[in-house]
Amino acid sequence: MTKSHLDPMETQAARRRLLRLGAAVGVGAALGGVTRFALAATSPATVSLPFANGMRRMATFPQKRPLILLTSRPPQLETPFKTFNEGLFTPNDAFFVRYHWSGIPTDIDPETYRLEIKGAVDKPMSLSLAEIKKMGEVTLAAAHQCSGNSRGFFDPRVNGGESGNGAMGNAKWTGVPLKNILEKAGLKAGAVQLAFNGLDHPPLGDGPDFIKALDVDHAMDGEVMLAWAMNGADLPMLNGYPLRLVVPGYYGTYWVKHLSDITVLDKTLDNFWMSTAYRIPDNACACVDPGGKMTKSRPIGRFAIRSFITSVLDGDKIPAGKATVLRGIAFDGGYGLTAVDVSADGGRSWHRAKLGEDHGKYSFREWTLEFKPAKAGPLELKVRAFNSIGQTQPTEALWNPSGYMRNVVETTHVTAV
Amino acid sequence: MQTTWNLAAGMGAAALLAALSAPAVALQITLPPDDAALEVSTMPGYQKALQNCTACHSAQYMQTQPASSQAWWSAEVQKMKKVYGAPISDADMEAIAAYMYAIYGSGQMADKVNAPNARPAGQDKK
Repeated sequence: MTKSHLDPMETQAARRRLLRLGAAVGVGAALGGVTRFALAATSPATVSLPFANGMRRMATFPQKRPLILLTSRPPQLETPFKTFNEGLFTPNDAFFVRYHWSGIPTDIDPETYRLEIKGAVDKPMSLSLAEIKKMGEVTLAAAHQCSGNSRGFFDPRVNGGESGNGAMGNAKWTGVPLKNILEKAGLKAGAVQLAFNGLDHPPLGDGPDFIKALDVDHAMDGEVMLAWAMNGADLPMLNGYPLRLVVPGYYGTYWVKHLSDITVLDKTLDNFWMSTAYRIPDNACACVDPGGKMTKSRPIGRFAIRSFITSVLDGDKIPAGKATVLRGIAFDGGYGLTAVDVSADGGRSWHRAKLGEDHGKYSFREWTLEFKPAKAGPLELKVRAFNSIGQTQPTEALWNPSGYMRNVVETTHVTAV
Repeated sequence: MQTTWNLAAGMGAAALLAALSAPAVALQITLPPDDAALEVSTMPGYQKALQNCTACHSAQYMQTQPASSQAWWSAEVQKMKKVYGAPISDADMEAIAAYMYAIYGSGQMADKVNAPNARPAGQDKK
């Protein structure tokens, strides 16, 4: 990386513009039966993600602060990286947004909303949100990340959603364990997978609806949940209101939004979104030679282990001869982080960071390390995480044809002055 | 009668708290207009792309791609028809791919249209 993640001045300016406009608009009058979130302003601010063709506009979508606009229709929004230094949990209005089809719901009545449980079950069910909320409630801290987070950094480049590092976030999800509901419905003998469908749909008739599947054992693990809240508030519409699947430790493709129906299958789901898309090389590294092709593939699964420095960004200056507390985040697929190491000399020597509060094995974990540059000059900061099953991050980026699972050891160039 | 609030995005915490304490009411959002547009061109594929591509998704899908070959753009147009169900007639496939490659093939359009002082998307004459 040679440029900073974004220009903070631009973002600040965008925020001020928004607040000005918001103040002018004020809180509107009651309109009867509906809470409406309208667009406040389209910010003209731009950011430059640090890869070729990385210029993006900031845009304000309903229930969201200005975020990095990847696409408008459907909405795809990236969290500005500096947000990850403002707290371990990503605010709902800053949380990234990713859709596949432009047919997305914009008006949902929680009184009439229903979730269908059907297929190979003893008792098919049609559940209201109120009924679902009475079937048990747990809160779990879990990172959420797009499979293609950081795709823009792939070399050679991979076509697709060209994200920087902000298609991820961390939240406290509140919902009911899926297991509770499935136990009530009763899985028939021979149930193999569950297919999850949401209210989003292709804009035209023939496209493959976005439907994803989990194996029965996974769906019944007691951790996979149907969440109605994140960070203590209802899900924003663009994050899956009123109910979404939360699959702790797994890439976001499985976290189906606006859940409408769950079908229990007696065989493996064979559709575009399982059999063709979201596939990774079926080998230990989930990688092939850069630019190469996959011969054998499997569906993407758990997060690759990652860590980031958040307290300084590329191009920042830190004081020489004076202590600076470096800070960042780390997370993995739920095996449990064991250590985070930081280097200030491009990876020649490593120093163990202090891990922050443990919010559970699926959450972002804060790390800190006090660091005093002995003299002025450029520094190549690096960070790498380790987990309980011996995983760590590669020093050279792994490559796969779809640009998924990036987890190279990140490098941040700063100057001690 | 239920009380509701018309909230502008980014409004303060007080308004948000008020909304959260309200009885369960419908949530309705209004998406901002999609102001990204395909680059105007005299190439025949431009009109076909307007009819077949941006009818379903915004032009940022094209603008943000890295430098890509004509073969990649041809394959992408094929995928849109065969996999995603875009109603593109076979006769128009290559014209669309040729337009896409000519305009977006160098992988620089997001930098151009999103530059801080860029003209509105779609206003550049080709």
